[in-house]
Amino acid sequence: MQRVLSVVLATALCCASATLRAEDSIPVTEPAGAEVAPSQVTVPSFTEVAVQILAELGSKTSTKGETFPIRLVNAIIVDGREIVPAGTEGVGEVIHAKGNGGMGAAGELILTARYLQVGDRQLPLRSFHVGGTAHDRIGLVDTLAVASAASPLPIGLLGFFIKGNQLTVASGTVATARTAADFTIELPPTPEAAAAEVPAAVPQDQPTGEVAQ
Amino acid sequence: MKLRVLTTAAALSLTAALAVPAGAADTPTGSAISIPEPPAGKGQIVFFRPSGMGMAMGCTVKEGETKVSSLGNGKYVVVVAEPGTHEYLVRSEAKDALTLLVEADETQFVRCHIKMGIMAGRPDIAPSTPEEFAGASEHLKLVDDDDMGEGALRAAELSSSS
Repeated sequence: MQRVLSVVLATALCCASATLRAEDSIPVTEPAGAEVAPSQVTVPSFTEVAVQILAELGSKTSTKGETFPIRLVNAIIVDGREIVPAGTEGVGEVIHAKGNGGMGAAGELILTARYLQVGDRQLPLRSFHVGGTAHDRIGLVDTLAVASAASPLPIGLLGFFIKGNQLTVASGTVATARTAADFTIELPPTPEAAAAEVPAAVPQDQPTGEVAQ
Repeated sequence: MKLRVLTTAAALSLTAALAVPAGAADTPTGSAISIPEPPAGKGQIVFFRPSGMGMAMGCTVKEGETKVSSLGNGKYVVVVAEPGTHEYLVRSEAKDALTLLVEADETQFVRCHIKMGIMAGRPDIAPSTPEEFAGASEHLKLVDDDDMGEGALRAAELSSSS
């Protein structure tokens, strides 16, 4: 029985020694996770993001320069890692607003997304094309003006009372924007990288003792 | 659940309707006029005036006191601008202003229209779309070089870049 135990122990020591020789060739002093999970990650410029408007805006009710809240719809992911989580809030701005008017003029509204607030930094946005001109009634007014020329009655004056539509953008409207510049962010190491760094911190001779036990 | 899906679909369709797809292609689909890409790092605006009322009146677009271009009836002009906010003005017996956010490497479209006024027609400028420009393009001609102001691309520059 003692002979059997001696053989098993000898075999185990032999295998452990072989494993250690193989491990000697691995540069364990280098953190194995450093390349897998860099601490700095960059969101490249022109990355497309979906942005939701969190306020009701309109050509009549909004004013130029007014800001409004926005929210990131989907997380920004780089190399499989979530860099900016969904729901991150930011700021949009009304670039131009003009209510409808007489002579068939329609309401006008131009909006932009300025930035997302990521921690204490701002991720600048661009290419957010929401707005435009509402349906106008200029054609109707022009027709009245032509008819007025052929009529003894000044029906063309009715045009002063004909207005185009207002333009309204509902709260919750989603549109795409793009990041306006490269945005580098510091990230904590992934769990895999953290786990890979643990053996590197252990002195090299310690595994020998563990195996020997 | 169904309500949420419908709301999302409605929001997306509204977005599509409102989106100004400028810059996707500088020459709009179906346009009879070729629009070149803006110079690197700059933006550009295409001002156009479809044929309509007030044929005798010019629609002179200015930025501050600087003339950008005069737009006769059925004319268009391509204006290169620095990225940032720009306010364009037109005026006769009444004034109209349009603020645009010009972004690098993108093209935007602006329409001028002469509305009826009391003593004279009133020019009105409004944001437009590539589709509206394409629809009017068959009857549009480039503004004469003499009527162009600062930043407007002359005929020779347009033909060499397109």
